[in-house]
Parts: sequence; C-alpha cells; structure tokens
Amino acid sequence: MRIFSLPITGLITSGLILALASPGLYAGQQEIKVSNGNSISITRLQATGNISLLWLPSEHGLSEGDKQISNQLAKLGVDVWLVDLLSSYFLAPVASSINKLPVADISQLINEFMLRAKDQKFVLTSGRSAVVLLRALKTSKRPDGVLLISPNLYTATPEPGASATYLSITSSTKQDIIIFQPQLSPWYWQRDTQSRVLESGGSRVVVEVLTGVRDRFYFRPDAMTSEQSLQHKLPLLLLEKMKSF
Amino acid sequence: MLKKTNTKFLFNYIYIFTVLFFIILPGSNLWAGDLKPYKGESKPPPLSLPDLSGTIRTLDSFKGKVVLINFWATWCPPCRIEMPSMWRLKNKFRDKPFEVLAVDMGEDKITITTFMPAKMERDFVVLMDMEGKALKDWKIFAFPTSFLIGKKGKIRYALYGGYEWDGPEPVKVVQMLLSEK
Repeated sequence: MRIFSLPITGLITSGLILALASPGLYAGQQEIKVSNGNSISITRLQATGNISLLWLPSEHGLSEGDKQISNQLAKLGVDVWLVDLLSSYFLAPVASSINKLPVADISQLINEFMLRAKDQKFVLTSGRSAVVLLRALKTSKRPDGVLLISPNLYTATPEPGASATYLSITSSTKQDIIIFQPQLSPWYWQRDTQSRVLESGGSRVVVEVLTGVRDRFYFRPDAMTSEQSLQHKLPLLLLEKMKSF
Repeated sequence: MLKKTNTKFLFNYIYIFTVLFFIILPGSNLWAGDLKPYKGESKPPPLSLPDLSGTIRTLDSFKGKVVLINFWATWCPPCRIEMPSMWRLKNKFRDKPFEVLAVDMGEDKITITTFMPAKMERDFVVLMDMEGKALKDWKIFAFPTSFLIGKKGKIRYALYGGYEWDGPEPVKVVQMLLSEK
C-alpha cells in the first residue's frame, strides 16, 4: 500500500505545484451570442486573479503572438477573453475587413464581458482594430481602461506631404487609454498629436513608448531579437499598466 | 453540399490573403504604386540636417540639381529593399546634376554605417534626423516616402512605399527633370 501511496502523493503534489504556478488557469472555447443570430468565438483563459482582459486582435487576425501573450497573461492571473473576430464573421485578415465588422455586435460582446468579468475590466486591441473598438465603446458599458497597441486611427495614409486626418471617433471618445507605441514606426513621431486628438474628446491618455521595436512586433515573421525579447516581456508590462489604472 | 463548397472557398480565400500578408507585408508599411506628379505645395518644407560627418546640409544648397529625397530607416524592410535600386539610379546619372538625399529617421551613425555599404554611403548624401524634425515638417506617415525635387528647387514627384527606382518610369522622369533648365 505504501508503495503506491508515494507516487500518488507525488502526483497530487505536482498537480498542486502546477496549479500554483498557473493560478487557476482553465482554457475554454465559448460562443457569445450577439444580435441577428450571430455569435462571436472566444477562447476564455480563466484565471484566479481579479483582472479581466478582453483581447481583440488586429486587422491581421488572431495570430500566434496574440495567443502566446494571452496565455502568459493568464498564467500571471489575468482572466483573458481572446476573441477571434474576423473568423467569427468569415472575414479575411486585411484592413478593409475591419469596416465590415458590425459595431453593435462588438458593443454587445463588451457588455457581456463587463457582466461576467472580474473586478477590474480592460479591453485591448491593436492597429486598425482600434477603430472598431472605440466605435463599439461609444454604446457599450465603460471598462476600467483601454489598451491600444500601435493604434491606427487615421482616415487613410495621407499622400506624401499631406496632413493626416483622424477618424471622428478619435475626438469623440471618452475613455482612460494607454497607448503602447513602438519607437521604430513613423507613428511614433505622431504620438503627441494623436494623444491631443484623443484628449480633445475627454479621454485620459498615457503613452508608453516601446523602445527598439516596430509596429506588429509581437506577431511579425521577421521579428528582430529586440522584438522577440519584448514579446516575452509584454505580458508583464501589460499587467503592470493595467494595475496602474 | 453548397454550404460546404462555399466554406471551402472562403477558407481558401482567407488562406491566400494570409499567405500574401506574410510574404508581402512583413515590415512594410505599403508597397508603392507609381511615381506621381506632386499635387501639394511645391515649395519644399525646410530641410537642414547633419550628414554622417556632422556637417549641416540644407536642401537649398542643392539648387540647380535634381534631388531625390528619401525618408528611410534601417529597420524598415521596404526601405532596405529599394535602396540598391536607388543606388543604381544614382550611378546611372553619375555624371549628371543628380543627388540622392537619404534622410534616416531617428538612428545614430553607427546603426546607419553598419547597414550601408561604404560605397553607397559615399554616393548618397546621408542625413540624420535624430529628433524627427524633418519627418514632421515633411509630414511623413509611412516609410519609405520619397520626393523628387526639380532643378528650380520645387517638389515635382512623390510617393510612399518601396519602389524600383531604376525601372523605366523613374529613369524617364529623372531624365525629364534633368533636361529642364
């Protein structure tokens, strides 16, 4: 009897250690029902912490980088709702697809998230998806904070020598926002202007410059060493910033 | 059956776009179309920056020459891809009043010289915009962005995104600008 009890005790101990190492981490696929019979696919990475994060991928679709960082965040105790928006609507991972996403559905998704999430609730997205997120937030419940990585809020890339114009949602948004702006990007030099436009609508904006990386750094196939390195550090940085709200 | 075929088509469509994204887009902001006549204010914004030796160079000092101003950075893949063709263009017009001003955005001398072959460095006028002053003055929102300045110092052509600078069209445009008085 004693012979068998040792491995069993060992297994229980290992299980406990794993559970402690990954606090309350359970992954599960869920379909969130929204209007018109549509449903949005999410992977919920449940954790025991009191922070929840709704993660909307960029216009390039759900990437391995999105998945890896979400998993790491969950291991840090963040309850992550990882959304596969484009696939939910059978849209190709290109910028123009963003305009085809029903904003009302995203608002409903945010509301559902706000209803079921933990004490502190945040939403995150990057690139052109920032447009649809800000539009959805106009009619949804307000999260504790919005995290935007390299947000593209321009109407279009201006012709050379022309001034950029921002989409009207930029100046009509009222949220607490942290922008993560890679330094190796033309948008890095426009960060103050972008902040001013966001603030003109009543948003509180903090810009966190990500040194030595380019836009899309966490899912680029040609990622440089500095980008790979920051990808590993990003979960902790995101957690730190969420706690700072 | 029809639904299955549509779904398969849809996934093929998504697959093709995904593959194109990973082949074409990585690192690029955009791949350019054609060099277009410039429609904005033809008087160029100020450009006064140090070259690699630290000497301040201004655009005014190149009056009487055709100048290709290219805003670039070593970390920008389409900038890196187009640069050899820009070098070939420069060499094609070696004996003509034609200069390439390569304005690097926010990087130091070591980073630039590590990337750029010494011969290219000598053929181009490499300028360093450490503070992004020129980038803001010239309203650069994508890398690379290029401007062709005529002999009278006016902006004549521009484009953003990578470009094959020694292709027939740009060669014709530079020849035309060089032939002007």
